[in-house]
Amino acid sequence: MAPIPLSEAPLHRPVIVAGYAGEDFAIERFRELGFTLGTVLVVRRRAPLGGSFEVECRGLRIGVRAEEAATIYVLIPNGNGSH
Amino acid sequence: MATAATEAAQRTVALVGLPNSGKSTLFNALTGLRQRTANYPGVTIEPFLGALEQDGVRVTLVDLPGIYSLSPKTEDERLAVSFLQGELPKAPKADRILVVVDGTQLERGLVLISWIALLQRPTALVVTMIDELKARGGVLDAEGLEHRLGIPVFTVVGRRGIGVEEVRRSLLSWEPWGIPLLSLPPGAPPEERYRWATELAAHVLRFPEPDHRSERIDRIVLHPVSGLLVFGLVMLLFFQTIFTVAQPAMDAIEAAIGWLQHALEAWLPAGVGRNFLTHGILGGVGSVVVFLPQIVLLYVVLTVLEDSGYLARAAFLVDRLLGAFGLQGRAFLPILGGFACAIPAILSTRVIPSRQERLATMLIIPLMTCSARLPIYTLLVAATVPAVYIGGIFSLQALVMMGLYALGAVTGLGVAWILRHTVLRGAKTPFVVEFPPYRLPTWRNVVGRAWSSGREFLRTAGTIILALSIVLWALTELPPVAIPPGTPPLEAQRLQLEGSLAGQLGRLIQPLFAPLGFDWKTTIALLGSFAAREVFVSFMGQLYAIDVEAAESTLREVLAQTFPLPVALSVLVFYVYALQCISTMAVLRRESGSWGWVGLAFAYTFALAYGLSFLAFHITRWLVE
Repeated sequence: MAPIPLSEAPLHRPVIVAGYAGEDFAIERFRELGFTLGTVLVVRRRAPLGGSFEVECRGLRIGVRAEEAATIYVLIPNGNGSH
Repeated sequence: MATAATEAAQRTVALVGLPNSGKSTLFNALTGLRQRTANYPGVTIEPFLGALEQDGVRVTLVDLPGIYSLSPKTEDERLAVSFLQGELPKAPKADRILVVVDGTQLERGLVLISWIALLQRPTALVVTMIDELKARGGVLDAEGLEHRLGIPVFTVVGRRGIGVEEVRRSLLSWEPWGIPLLSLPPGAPPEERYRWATELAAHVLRFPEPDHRSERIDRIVLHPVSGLLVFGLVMLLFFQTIFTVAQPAMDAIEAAIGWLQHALEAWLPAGVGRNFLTHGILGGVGSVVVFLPQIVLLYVVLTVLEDSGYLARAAFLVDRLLGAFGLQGRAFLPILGGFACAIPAILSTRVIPSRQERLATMLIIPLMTCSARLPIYTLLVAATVPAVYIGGIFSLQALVMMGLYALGAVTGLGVAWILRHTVLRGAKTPFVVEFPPYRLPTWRNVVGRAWSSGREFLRTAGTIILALSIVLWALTELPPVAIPPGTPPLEAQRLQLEGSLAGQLGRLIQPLFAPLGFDWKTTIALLGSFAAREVFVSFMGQLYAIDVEAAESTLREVLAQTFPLPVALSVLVFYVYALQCISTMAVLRRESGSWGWVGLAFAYTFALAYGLSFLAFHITRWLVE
């Protein structure tokens, strides 16, 4: 399956970081925050007024703007519960 | 011994941690109220310094802004990293580094240590939030961690002071710390660092359960409907606190200053000296101190919102709204704070990571209607706007007041958009906001922050306001006008003001303001307002004193008869926009790092004030006639 932007990932389903498409320093910040390649993320909710997502990453919940979430590419693992 | 004491006096320890790691709570627990801000030349962000002292040993603790690595992305982080690398010219070098890590986020904390290890400085680790870790079923083997990292590890609950004593003892005894041992190459990418951290954490930690309690609260607080209701409620409480709670204290301060002025006038012989003491000095001190209750309260509320974890959620909630104007979610509290007083509001823009977004926020804060404008609005609206009810429900006066508030806020957002698309275009930093678990704020932290911010205000803004009040006094009292004996005191006061430098200047530049409908009295009062807006009311009081006495009424009634509505509206619009507050300009200069931004703020607000007052005057006159 081809990677999709994190902003299009389904809610409540684990996805795996597979690549980046943003500016260097923004990507670096995300990697420092723990959005490293291979990390499991879960999109928990959309902001009430839209525009941002709440993403769970390594046990921490982080609010990410949609435009930045679009620069992180993720894979949806096949099957249920597998990593 | 002198040498030992000097050496000890220079011991400096940097306090480092990720944002929200409990670093400042630990700092407050260690140093109490013995804090001050460091003033390093060329640095716009000033870290807090705290001292630990015992038996002649003194250790200075530097509370640095939170960082994620040694490659800074924001101004705050740049300061912290430069300090750690010893690149700040006038700042002391950190002899040691105390890293603070949230026990429920150990993995991320260890990644930070992997960066700090590159500095090759004696280091110790403090793991905080141990109570939360336990409550969520996590267990930390601190000894094992100490062994594996080769540095001392302390476990604390900073909010309750548990374990803090051991940290203090280690700092004061200056017992040897270690340099962290890592099996990582210096240039390792984040992926490798996280792999190392996860592996290490697996050896020493039973991982905690997810934070179900915060998730349950978030289901309400971030819900599309209830979330917005909660947000509205919090905003309401915010304003309620800033205005209602601060008012009695502000009234009390004003009354006390007034009492002192009267007392001095009764004791001392009349003359320029007495006048200088009562109006120059005491008046100046009064105009500084009167803001203190509001500023302290603003910081209390801000700290409570931040420490409870709500601030991060609120920023997430309104990010889209502010994003449309080129600002980010974190800007909403500083902007809100601007409705109380621009000075603390500008200081609180430090929570905004991107310089461009921070500057844009600082530049529009003066357009938010601060409490100093309120007396002017109240006086002029009550005096000149007809007290009628529209549709029998809405008071026209209240609507005008609300309109003035809205006018400033809406224009401010528009200006932000323009700034972000012109001079402050620049790169956007990613908007990421971490949601810390909900926690009860501690008194120690709230009081500590309010205390140090209040002191900071008195030190920086206070001295400038005081100095300018004295200059203003000189402008109105000099040169002394020869007043014929037997002149009634009120008449004498008016003659003095008219003949003073301020009076002469007012008449001189009145033609400039004539297109806005201002006469010379209004112009003089307006000039006085450039030191501080509330001066307008007292100047008008002095200028009209004689009329008020003759008519045996109040200033409001005299104005109601002599001040036409178009002029009143023109003055009001002018006050909505004009940056007439030297203290704000001083703080803006310090926080932006250059007079250029102050110049821009002054110029654009003046242009808006002049242009829109002109329109307000002429349109209303045309409508009324």
